[in-house]
Amino acid sequence: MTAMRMAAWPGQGQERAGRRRSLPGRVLADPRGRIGAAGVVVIVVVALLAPLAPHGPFAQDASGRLLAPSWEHPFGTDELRRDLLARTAYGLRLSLAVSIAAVLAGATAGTAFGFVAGYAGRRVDAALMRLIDAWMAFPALLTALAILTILGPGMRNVGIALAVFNVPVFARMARAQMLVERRREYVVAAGALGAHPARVIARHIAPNALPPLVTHLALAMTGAIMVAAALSFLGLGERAPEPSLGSLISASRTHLRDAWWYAAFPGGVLTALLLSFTLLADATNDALGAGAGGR
Amino acid sequence: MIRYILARVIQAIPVLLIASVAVFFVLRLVPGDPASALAGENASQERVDEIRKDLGLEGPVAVQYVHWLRQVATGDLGTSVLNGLAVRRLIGLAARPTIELALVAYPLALAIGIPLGAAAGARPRSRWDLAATAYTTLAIGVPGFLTAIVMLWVFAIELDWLPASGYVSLLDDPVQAALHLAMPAATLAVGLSAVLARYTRTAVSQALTQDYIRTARAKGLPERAVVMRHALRVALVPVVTVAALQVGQLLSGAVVVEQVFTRPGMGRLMVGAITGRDYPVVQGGLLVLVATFVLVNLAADILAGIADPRAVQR
Repeated sequence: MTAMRMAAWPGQGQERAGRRRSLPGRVLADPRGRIGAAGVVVIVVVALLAPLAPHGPFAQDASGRLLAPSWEHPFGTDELRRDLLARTAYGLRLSLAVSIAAVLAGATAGTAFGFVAGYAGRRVDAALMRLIDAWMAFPALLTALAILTILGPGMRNVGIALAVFNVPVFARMARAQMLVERRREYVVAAGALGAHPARVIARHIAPNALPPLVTHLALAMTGAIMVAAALSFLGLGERAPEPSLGSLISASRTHLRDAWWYAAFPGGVLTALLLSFTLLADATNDALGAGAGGR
Repeated sequence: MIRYILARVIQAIPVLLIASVAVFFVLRLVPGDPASALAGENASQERVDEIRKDLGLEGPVAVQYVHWLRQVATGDLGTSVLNGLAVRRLIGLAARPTIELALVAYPLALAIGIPLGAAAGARPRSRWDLAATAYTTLAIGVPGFLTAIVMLWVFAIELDWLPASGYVSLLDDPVQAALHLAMPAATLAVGLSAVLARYTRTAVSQALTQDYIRTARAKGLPERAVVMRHALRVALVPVVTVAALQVGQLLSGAVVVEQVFTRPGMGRLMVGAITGRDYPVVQGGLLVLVATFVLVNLAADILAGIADPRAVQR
């Protein structure tokens, strides 16, 4: 109802011409979508190319400590005479890998959870959703802190923590999708033919219910990268000397006065990474139809 | 209305209980035996047993839980294993700087976010809207600790206007307290205001398509009055709910910000307790933070119901 009104109101809502294009087409028609997608591609390529950096991330072979950027060391060097370009690239690699793995794991588990709740209905649904409510009552970073208390610090455990707080968000969305799809005729027909519920969900419902969930991945990635960086900034991530974007920024703090590049390059890369995913998520959200609101 | 309020309160109880079970299990899920880990390698069996008893790790889990819940209900959160102080006292001391930080950052965020969002929502696709979108994208995209470091660099190192770290209570010395609060509060407010601005923008631009706005315009009200008095008022109802949800973001943000500006508070207490394996403090702190979050959201739901009774009819 609101959507119809918005479209009818001049100067508001989306252009009608964009309606027929596929979702990726609409995302890329949006300049934010193009910039975001290009940024993500460039960053992933840089992360993959990290081993090609002229110096290793652990080699203490620079001619001096805290050297300003030069051709030899484009991002400068740190207090232990290590090349910051290599350390930033490897840090990016680690941050990206952990976030991608965690979001995919959390999304898979959450979707399964939500599908079961939505398909089972009634009491199972009510019980599972109360559990999800309580789960969501823990703010993201606090959930992660609680999990790191149990598992101890380390990047693998940061990944587990990130996966865990992605579960309830995807569970909610999957359940909402399931509640809609479950009443559709094709589902009733499949059930009437005697198909097992697991088969109905996997073969019939999932292909129709998944696309909206996939579009949430970009936003989930933003959250995951952010929290992973915050945790390693707090010193709860990987152990030294392994670099991550968060720990590089944390280490740079004591040298803010005399080595601006130490904070600036890892910080700039992290910002570029987050902005790319944010722009992509915004464009996706708008392409899906306004009013959905981000969570 | 009373039925609605009661229903919301009753809904919050299972959430709080499940959350308490989760917090309770933080200590029980630690791999190995936390008591012998805390006692150290060369501790005697008596010492380990003593610590186990102090942590409430004796007997069946269900009994432990009921016992723990009963203690929590009387305000007893146990004692720190690191310094032997009551957890309640530690939290009481740490809560004050964090509350002061929140009380400054939160209104600041509202004061930036809501006018910005309303101005953008009143004229979608205008220059104002573009500027607001650029601000919110940047503010959402840049993590708090990075904003904090940039501020440190500019205001504490280059300009030397503000102290880089430390805490002075607002009650002791308001001027010094304000100087110490400026950067931490601004860091938190930037992140919070961006989300608020986005929701306000959507809500205002949607409200402006409603029939009563056409009526207000038709009777010749100036556009400013239409936006401020009619659209924004209705638009603020969902924003209240979002603002309450942001208390979670505020608490998470405080953890990081306190670390950057070496400011005492709940965040530093928690991070210190996690690295020091001070389980009772982690448990108590988590419980207080989560309960705060649930109760603030409950209050916001009730407020939203009072502000817009249509929401109750669902």
